[in-house]
Amino acid sequence: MSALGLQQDVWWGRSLQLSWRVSVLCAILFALGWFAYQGLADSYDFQWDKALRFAPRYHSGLLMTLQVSAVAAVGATVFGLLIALGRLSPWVLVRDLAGLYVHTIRNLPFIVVMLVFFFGLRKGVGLDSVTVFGHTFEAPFVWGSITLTLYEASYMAEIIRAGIQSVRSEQMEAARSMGMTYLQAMRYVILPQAITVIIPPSTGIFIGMVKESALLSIIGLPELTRTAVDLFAPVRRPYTFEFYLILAGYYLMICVPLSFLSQWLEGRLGTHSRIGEEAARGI
Amino acid sequence: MAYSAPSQLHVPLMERRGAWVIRVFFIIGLLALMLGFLHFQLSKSYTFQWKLAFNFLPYFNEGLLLTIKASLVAGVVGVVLGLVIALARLSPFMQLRDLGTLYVHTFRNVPFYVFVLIVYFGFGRAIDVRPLVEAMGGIVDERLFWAIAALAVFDAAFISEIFRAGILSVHATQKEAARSMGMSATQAMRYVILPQAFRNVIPALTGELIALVKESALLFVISLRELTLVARELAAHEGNTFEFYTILAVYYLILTLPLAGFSHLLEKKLSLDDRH
Repeated sequence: MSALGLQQDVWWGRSLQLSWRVSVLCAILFALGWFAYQGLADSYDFQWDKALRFAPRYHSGLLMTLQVSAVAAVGATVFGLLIALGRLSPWVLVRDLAGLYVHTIRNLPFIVVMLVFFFGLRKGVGLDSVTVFGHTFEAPFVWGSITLTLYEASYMAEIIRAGIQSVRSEQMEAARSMGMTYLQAMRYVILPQAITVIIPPSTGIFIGMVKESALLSIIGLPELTRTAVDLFAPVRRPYTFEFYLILAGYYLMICVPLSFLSQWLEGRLGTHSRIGEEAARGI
Repeated sequence: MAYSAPSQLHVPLMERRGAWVIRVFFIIGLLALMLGFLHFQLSKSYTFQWKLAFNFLPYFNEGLLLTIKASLVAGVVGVVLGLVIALARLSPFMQLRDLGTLYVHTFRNVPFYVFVLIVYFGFGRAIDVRPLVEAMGGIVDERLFWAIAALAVFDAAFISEIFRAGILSVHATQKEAARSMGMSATQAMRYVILPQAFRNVIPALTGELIALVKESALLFVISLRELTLVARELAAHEGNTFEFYTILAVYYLILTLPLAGFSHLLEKKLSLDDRH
């Protein structure tokens, strides 16, 4: 049923309805945006042409954001799996330890963990730059990816745990009774079934990683946000508004496709990502 | 037949009823060992001055108050705004639904850090809120006003998702029954659906308050002197970064862990209630 009484029973009905819907939305947005913009422009001098000239300089930052998020994504998945297995371990003391880790990290702001690690632990550990295959990674990158990995692993662990627990316990019993060890049963029976539940919400975690990586600008990693702040800082350019709006546009460019991917996977795999959404918010 | 407690014979030693004492001691002992070792290793290259750091606790307490104030007020505003957006997303009007969806998806895909920068250095420069702030009688200053606005607007996107799920979780027959008794759609929502939705939503809202407290840590970027900025300033001034940041982490845990426990308990209670 549509508000306009558009034809639903013909093949083009749906796309006509969709394009009508999108164009109405665009019109409303344009009107709202225009009013807001006019209101703001009374007291703020927008200089889009100048700000846009700097936009290409964001690209190196974009690359760095993607790099550090990718490293953290792999790291957090592996480490999160370990923590999840710890939380489901037959030994209660291991469960307690893994639970302690998850609850402590999840209830701290990312920036606090980052400050403790970068300005606290780094001084003691003395690990500063790492050279892999002739490419040297500086301290902000190394510690940034370590912190991001450890922080997001606690969220990832909860998702993986929920995924594993969604597989009925009879599966484990059957696998064990066929002579598999615990790890074999996990590897060949439980995890392949859990993965369909795990994948859609974990895209939410990857979005979270991209978003959290904005904070790595504080420890001096030259990623997206840092580039924007640096562009603004040297001469105290007056057009901060434009810079930061462009910055938000860049983040939307990374995150919106991921969020669509998550929705698509959800429909495809027939699971829903509420678990991940809530886990990602620390609920 | 009289009730008798189930036998504990086949329960593993560490999972028996009194064993939690041993578990807690074990965990505390292990933590103490690990932290002690870490402290020992670090003190080779770093001089700890805990006494000096503890002298500054009053500053932390002030920051704590500001953090609580910002997150609580933003939470209340965010709940109102979130409810409006949730109702828009469930409204019969397509355009309202689309606008609501757009709002939620935009804010979910931008880092809060970037959003604060836009709000304070963008809108904060373009819009003069001093008259508004003065009209409110000095409860908030200009900076706190923008901080709360940023937190509330940003979190409303997440809160609206919680409300939407809560409203959708109320069975459709409830609405049909209310409507068939002659209530209007608004009345049905107000007197039948929302009271039930609210009850289901409280644990998730508590979790959202935790998220708010965690997000408020980023307000240091607009020089709001909450917990994180206090710690950063002290660390920059005194040079004892490790001590101050550790104290900072403990302060956040003191704030968030009870909330997390409360949320968990409520969730447990609600799921028990729902069984019958």
